Amino acid sequence: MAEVRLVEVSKRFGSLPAVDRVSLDVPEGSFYTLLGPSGCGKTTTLRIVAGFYPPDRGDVFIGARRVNDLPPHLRQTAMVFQEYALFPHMTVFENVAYGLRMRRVGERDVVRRVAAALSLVGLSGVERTFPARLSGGQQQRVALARALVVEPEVLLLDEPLSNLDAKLRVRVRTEIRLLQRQLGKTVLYVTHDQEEALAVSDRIAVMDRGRVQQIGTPVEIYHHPANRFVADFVGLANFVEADVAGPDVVRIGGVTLRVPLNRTAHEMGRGGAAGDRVTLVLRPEAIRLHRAPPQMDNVFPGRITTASFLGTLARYWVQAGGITWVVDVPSPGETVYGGEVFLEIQPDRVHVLRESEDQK
Amino acid sequence: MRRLSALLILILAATLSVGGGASAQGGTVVVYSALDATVTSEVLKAFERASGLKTEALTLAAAGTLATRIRAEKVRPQADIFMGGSADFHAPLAREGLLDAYASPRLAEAKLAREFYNADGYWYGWYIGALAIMYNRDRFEREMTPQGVKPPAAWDDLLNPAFKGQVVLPSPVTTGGGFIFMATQIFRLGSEDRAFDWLKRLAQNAMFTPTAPAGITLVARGEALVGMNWGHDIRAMAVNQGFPVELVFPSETATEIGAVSIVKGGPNPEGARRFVDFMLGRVPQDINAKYGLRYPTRTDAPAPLGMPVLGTLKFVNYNRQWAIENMQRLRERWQKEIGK
Amino acid sequence: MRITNHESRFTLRMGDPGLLAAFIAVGAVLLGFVLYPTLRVISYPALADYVAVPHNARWIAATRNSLMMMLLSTASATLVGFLYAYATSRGDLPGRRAFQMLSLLPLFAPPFMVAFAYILMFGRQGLITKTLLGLDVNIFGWQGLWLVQTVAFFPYAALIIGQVLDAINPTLEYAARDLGAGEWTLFRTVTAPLARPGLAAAMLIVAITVLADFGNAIVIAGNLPLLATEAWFRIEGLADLSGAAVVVSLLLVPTAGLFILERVWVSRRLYTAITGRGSRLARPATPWYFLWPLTAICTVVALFVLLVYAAVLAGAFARTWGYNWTLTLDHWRLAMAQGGGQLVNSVKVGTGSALLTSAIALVAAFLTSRRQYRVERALDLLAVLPAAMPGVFIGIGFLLAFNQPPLVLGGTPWILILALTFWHIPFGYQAAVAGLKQIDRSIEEAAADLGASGLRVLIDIYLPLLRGPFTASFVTSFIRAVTNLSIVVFLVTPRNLVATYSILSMISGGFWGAAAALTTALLGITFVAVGGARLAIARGLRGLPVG
Repeated sequence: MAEVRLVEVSKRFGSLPAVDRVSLDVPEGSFYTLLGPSGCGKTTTLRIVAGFYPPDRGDVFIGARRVNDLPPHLRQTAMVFQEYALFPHMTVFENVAYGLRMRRVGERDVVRRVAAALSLVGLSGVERTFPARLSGGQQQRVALARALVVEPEVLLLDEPLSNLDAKLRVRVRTEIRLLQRQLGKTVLYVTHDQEEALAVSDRIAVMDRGRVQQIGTPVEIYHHPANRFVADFVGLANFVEADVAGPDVVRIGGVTLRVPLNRTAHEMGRGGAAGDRVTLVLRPEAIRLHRAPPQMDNVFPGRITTASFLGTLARYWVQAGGITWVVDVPSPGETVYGGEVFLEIQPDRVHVLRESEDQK
Repeated sequence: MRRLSALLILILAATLSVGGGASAQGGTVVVYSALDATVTSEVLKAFERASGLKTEALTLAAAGTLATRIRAEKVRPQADIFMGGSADFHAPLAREGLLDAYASPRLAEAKLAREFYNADGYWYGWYIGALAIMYNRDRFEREMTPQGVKPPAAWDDLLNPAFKGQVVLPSPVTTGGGFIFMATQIFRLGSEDRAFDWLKRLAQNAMFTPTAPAGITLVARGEALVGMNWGHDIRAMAVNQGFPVELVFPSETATEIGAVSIVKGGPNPEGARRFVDFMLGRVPQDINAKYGLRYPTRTDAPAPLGMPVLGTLKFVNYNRQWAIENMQRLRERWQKEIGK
Repeated sequence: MRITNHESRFTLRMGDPGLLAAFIAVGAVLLGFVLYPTLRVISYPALADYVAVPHNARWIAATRNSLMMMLLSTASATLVGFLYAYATSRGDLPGRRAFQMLSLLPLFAPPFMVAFAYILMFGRQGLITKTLLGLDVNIFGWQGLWLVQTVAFFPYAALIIGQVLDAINPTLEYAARDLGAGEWTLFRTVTAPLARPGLAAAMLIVAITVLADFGNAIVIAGNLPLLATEAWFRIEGLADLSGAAVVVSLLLVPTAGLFILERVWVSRRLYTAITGRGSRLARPATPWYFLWPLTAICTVVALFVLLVYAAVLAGAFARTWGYNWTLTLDHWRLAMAQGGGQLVNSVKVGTGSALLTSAIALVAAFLTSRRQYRVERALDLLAVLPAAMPGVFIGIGFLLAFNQPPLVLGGTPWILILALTFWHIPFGYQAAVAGLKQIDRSIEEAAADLGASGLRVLIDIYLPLLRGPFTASFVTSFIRAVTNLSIVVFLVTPRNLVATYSILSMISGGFWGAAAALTTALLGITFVAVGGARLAIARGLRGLPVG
């Protein structure tokens, strides 16, 4: 097993900077996700690690070794492609065996190791089948087995689930996560699906326009996004412009709210002073709805304009203080509300972004 | 996969085996023949029997193409013998140094007339053909006789407006026969300009085919009504095949001398000389008379069956030397002034 | 994303010694067998010969006539091809498969014989024109040539346009109808505009073919001077190799121009149309007022095609066509005695050149598939260049280039095999390029990631996946090779005579019956060989649909 380290890696295609000074530290045995919208540079970063592109600048290390000039197959990495890239003219067995044959593994070992890899992904018994005859989920497993069978130190996965239907996607991602734990492999995983990233990763690097925006655990990324892009991309959020009115007090239009500005002030490196502008990030579940006004701070009236029943929760669009708020109410049961309501902001669930970060 | 590759390699190997050495076989004489396949193969068979040598032939009744190949192969000649085709094709090759001179010991015995061989031994004539007029009898009797039109019997009859668009001749540019026909008009009418005036009038009546035999086929099948071609070819390809074609030798006709020559630097010069010796004998000339109906150059060989004796034909005073020397110029003039 | 993939392929292949060697090898053979003969032809005449061209009235006339025939025949062949392709793209056309098969027949036909069959059918004494219709027509001249070229070359147009039409998603038709378009409006507003790039490509290909047409022109053109036949006249009549080189160089100007037009303007648009995989959805039913006229058109065209073959077949068995209809095998006896071994040679030469063509084309397509760097684009150009060359040009080029050191091939069968091989490279190359575009690039990356070298990727991945284009290329090249005359006539050797040459020589000697018999035998062998090749290559790898 090995760690992967990228130091100030940059790559341009023509005049287009695809990857811009990216530094990553992927600890040995961790499940590390590159998350971002299409075109953010995550796949390019992965391909630089795989060895398909040489970086223009910066260094790539796998273990202690600098691998910038090493061809793909000597890097101790193996890749699972988005489209699986199974060889359509070879059987499942031949597909999985291909990497071993290229490494001149003896025929008896090939048979044994292919069988082991297929059983690892739960796909024994289809060895003689051609890929086209398999379902999407099965093809995905073949691709995984083909990558695993060469016993790479680092497994590279490029949007491996994007071609599966929603249910299967959830199942397979759990299996991949379990497999990774069981084998203790270092995994570098690329996805644009923030929910998938949150669900499986040890760490996530959120990327946008070639640059890393934030690196952190799923909890950190979700609850303490470093900037508006991350907050917006990961999960759903209300972005509210506010004026600082005093210590831990902000004003939004006519509504005054108490939020702990100090903690963020600490993170920002300077205190919130009256007259500053901040952006509040409120996740939909950080707001509560009440039919009658409760006696506490941070409550103000509003009117539900749209409601949407989502099973495990109900989502409301509430007009209040000149803004439309998105609010999630868990376990809605049989009732979907409408009409006049009161919104309660939970102060400890408010994340504050300073003006400058907001502009990013 | 592996089986597929093996299969492909196998097929390729089989193909390559076509190859082999180009000119390795010592006892083989390579012949470029401008005669038809039957005459060529009969002559070669007879030569093989007589000499014990083997032969290979490239047969194409288009002497110019073969002559051009001999030119293109100048650096590494592939042929030993150029057989058939008018001496008009052999003479320029000799001038360009592409033929070997050979004084055949059999010349004396063959008793050829002086005009039938090159004095330096570059080529020997071994058959004679004469130009003739032909017409499709069925069509003529149906379409022309009721109008009182007489069958053509002289060159001037080809200008008859009744035949407009229905006269077919081999092209003076691309065929030996066509050229001899053009030269014949010059000698007959006494001046080049007069001949070209005559030819211009003819061109308004006629269509010219790029190969000589094509015209015979057209008249035989009634696509055309009247034509000019080699008498022996008309006889062999039309009359003897049962087509309703009549053959007339006009007065003031002309001949070609079918030649044989040795290609300089060919793979088997010794074999080539033996071949020329053979060609001066009776056997090949009799074969040619029998299958090709062409007249022999040897005086002791009989005329082809069904053809008038050569001596009964009336010839124009044909200056072969002048014709050959002016061939290129006359053809260019034809292209420029008549352009067909 | 696309850019990144290009980059990836290059990086992967950059330092690969096997691929570098392959690149150099393919580059060298293309330079040696495409560019070198071309330069030999162009540089053979003296400069003065070129300067004199505008003063040669006949050549001016020939150029004018060639261009006129090009316009006429291209327009008609493309129109007929389009109608035919449109008709056969309709699933409910009665006898659709049969019509499709019939339209391929002219591609199999050796020249000379077909043109002659037209004379037999449509000439002054033609079976159709005279016996059936009582007409008195002269088939010789531009009108006859126009008819013959239309029927001979419409299959090219139909093939190209058919591919484009098949690629049009039927959903579009449903959508247009759903929005209220009638059949004619649908055709006018959806089908025709979408097929336009295919139409343009077809026109250019047909135009090049018409310009280079030698076999039909020499039999049918009559007194009409044309560039393609003029080259042969120079050689045959005037023994003027230099003049012939001038004429074929003249001919190269318009063909190369059309070809460049096709490359830069049309083929790019065409690819976008073809690569979108057609859905398997059945096309909507065609209304009767469309279907019936289409069926009628196809029937007439197919009858023309069939008549040619019927004439050849009848000519092979009748004692004397038109005069004595007694059945006889004499022609066959003569044909087999004189041309039997040459049939075998034809098959050998055809197989060898078609295999070489397909293999070199496939490797070249693989090597140039990124087309990003100048060397690759140069290789690409070399691989498609022969498509712009008339057969007579290649024939004269090889004759001039390989009868002298450094490489003497004259007198061996190789000069013919290689000339045919390199003349046909563009067909195999374009097929392989189109095939490559269908294969997702990540498949190559996956193989490289697992440790396959560049050559291994070619052998393990692309070779088997491209067997569809390989077969297509093999079949096309084989048919063209065994029916070729324009190159054969210059390069055939006494020891390795091929059937088309014998057919020509039989025709020259007036043995039409034997020529018809030999043609029939050649056609039979071609059909069998093509079927066999498809079967063998399909069997070589079982189970998968052909790409």
